[in-house]
Amino acid sequence: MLLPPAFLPSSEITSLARAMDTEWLRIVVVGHVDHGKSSLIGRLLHESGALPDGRLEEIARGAQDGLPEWALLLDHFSEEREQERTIDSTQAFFATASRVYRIIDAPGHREFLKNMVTGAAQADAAILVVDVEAGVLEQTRRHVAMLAMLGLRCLIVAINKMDRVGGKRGPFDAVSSSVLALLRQADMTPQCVVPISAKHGWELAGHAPEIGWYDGPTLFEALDSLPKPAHLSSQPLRFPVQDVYEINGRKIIVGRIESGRIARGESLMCLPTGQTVRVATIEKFMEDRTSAKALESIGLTIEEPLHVERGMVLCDLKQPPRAAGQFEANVFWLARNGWARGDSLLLRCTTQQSPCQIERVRRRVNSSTFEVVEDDASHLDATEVAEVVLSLDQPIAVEEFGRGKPLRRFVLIKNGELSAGGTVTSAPRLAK
Amino acid sequence: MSDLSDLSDVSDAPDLSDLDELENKSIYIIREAYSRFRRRAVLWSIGKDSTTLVWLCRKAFFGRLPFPVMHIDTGRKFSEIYEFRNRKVAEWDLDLVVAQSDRASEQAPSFADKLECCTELKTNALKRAIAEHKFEALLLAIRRDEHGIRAKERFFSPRDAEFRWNYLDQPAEIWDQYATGAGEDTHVRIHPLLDWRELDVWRYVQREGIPVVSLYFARNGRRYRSIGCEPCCQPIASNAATIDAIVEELRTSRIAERSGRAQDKEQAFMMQKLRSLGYM
Repeated sequence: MLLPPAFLPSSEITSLARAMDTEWLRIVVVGHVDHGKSSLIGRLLHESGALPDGRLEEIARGAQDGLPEWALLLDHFSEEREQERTIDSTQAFFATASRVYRIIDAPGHREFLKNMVTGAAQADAAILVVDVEAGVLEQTRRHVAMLAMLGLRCLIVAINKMDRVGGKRGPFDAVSSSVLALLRQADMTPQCVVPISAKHGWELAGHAPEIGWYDGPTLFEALDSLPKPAHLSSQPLRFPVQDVYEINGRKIIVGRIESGRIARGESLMCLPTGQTVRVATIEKFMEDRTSAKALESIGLTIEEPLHVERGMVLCDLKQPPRAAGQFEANVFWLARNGWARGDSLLLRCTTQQSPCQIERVRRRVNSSTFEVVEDDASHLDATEVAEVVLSLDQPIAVEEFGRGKPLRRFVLIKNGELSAGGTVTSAPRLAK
Repeated sequence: MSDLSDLSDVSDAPDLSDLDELENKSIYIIREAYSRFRRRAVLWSIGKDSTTLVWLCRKAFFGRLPFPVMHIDTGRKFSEIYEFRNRKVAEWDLDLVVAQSDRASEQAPSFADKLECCTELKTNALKRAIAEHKFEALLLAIRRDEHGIRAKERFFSPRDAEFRWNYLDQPAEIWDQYATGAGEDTHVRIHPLLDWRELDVWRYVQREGIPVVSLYFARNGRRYRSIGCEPCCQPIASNAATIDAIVEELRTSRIAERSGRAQDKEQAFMMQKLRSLGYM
């Protein structure tokens, strides 16, 4: 890469500031409606100094108790303000001394579950907000189930509205233990449980004398101690082909490395055909590259004159994923229109896609109570989760439970609408 | 063997930097837009964001864009914008489409208010151009941190035949699987820079040496932070005369980016109204 001289840090201040900006984490805030998710984010933006001048005065105007209505910072649709509820997820940014946070606000209403999942699917970690007076409610439970389905297990619990109980420990302990019990059901362990008041700013940036008995981290400290997501470059190579461009007579295979790395001269397996190809060049505009790593969008050329197209996956020769035409999976149904036996679906997993059928629904589960609604079901409703057997018209490369995420995750399209998400649990070997 | 030494090169490679992560994700989205639609164009206002988007498109396609760039010309842009545009069209070998309302050449059009002016000169000009060129997908450089309404956008955001944005029922978007089923007379807005902050754009401009119009640089203690039509843009007080100085200024600024843009502020929910009518 040809870099202009401006890229080099011109002073210590610049290089320090660069270092501060280079790490970031995406956090989704989830929980039941009215437990204070948007308010918490608004307050975090204020405490971290991220609000532009004039915004605080804007939201304080017209407040009944003189305290700003923090949620107004996030709820920008007129419908959201009139109804005092978040409809779609949104994002905001703030920085602490150690990194930049991208905060995703997720709506708490059941009817907006697809918006909550859209927000949560982009996150590295979650804050689960629970009202200390109300305790664990329907969407608290459902959101935990969705986090588990999305594979998002890095979590902080914030017990909110501590001002309503005078900062007392008793109510906090009671709610805290019921949240921990819920998380155990979903096989999740929080990093910590913090008593807060978003409205008054308790235990966010600093300790509050009203909660003197609490000696754990503040919410900012808890955020800063969250681990970074796992390094994808050390996993086996998965390179789903996104497209093939013909430029000046050369065929350039483009795509994003989902995990692992690629080096020039390396031999790779091309799925689902199983052929072996050798990497001739790695292509990035105006760069001379001999290797590339996870999450890079690159191009490459291969030595063999093989036909390669979108949907093929180039993989590590020794640790390839499995090409499967049928597999077991967990799915969560998001679309208002549910599923009924016989519906034709399209499955997409990275750039792979195939028409498919839900062959069998082993168990249909209520995502809030975690109760089995029905065994061997013939339909699924919105917000339900299920254990299913999927069968595909064309085999695709998938990964089983416990292996890398990118080829375990898929979505189901029904009538052109992204209707469900799912993860592969097990895939039988294709008969030779 | 050469491949072994190549591998050892990267064994201790750090994670991607935040700018690399943003760049690679944007390129993925741009290539996805190209792969999923047949007729696409990138909207280029000649501002820093859309010039960055054009730059990323050049990277995605190894130098030359395989689709046109569209400039919505209201006839009220700064003269620097036209000069910069024409220079870069030649230098980057761009296929330029100019979208213009019939009323753009009127000397003093009698629009009732800014909502009507933006809607006629921008949204309606865009409607006409889309109908003429039958574009199915438009790439736009909007960012979440510009405005609370834009923060709620999707990467792939469908519009109906009347250009309406059904913001109360947006499609689910998970694991980089995007809505593509637009159907007749509809189009999809694609937002590759949605995750970028203003500061990220400037740091990237700084890193890559992306050319930007001179209006952004301070002269006599004032500079433009956001650029649109000349009558509706106010410069901010600033001494930042270089890209480095702008980056430093933004690290500490507490002034909203679009504070100098008149059309956002005329009425409550102005941005929502503009956008629900098809505004960018």
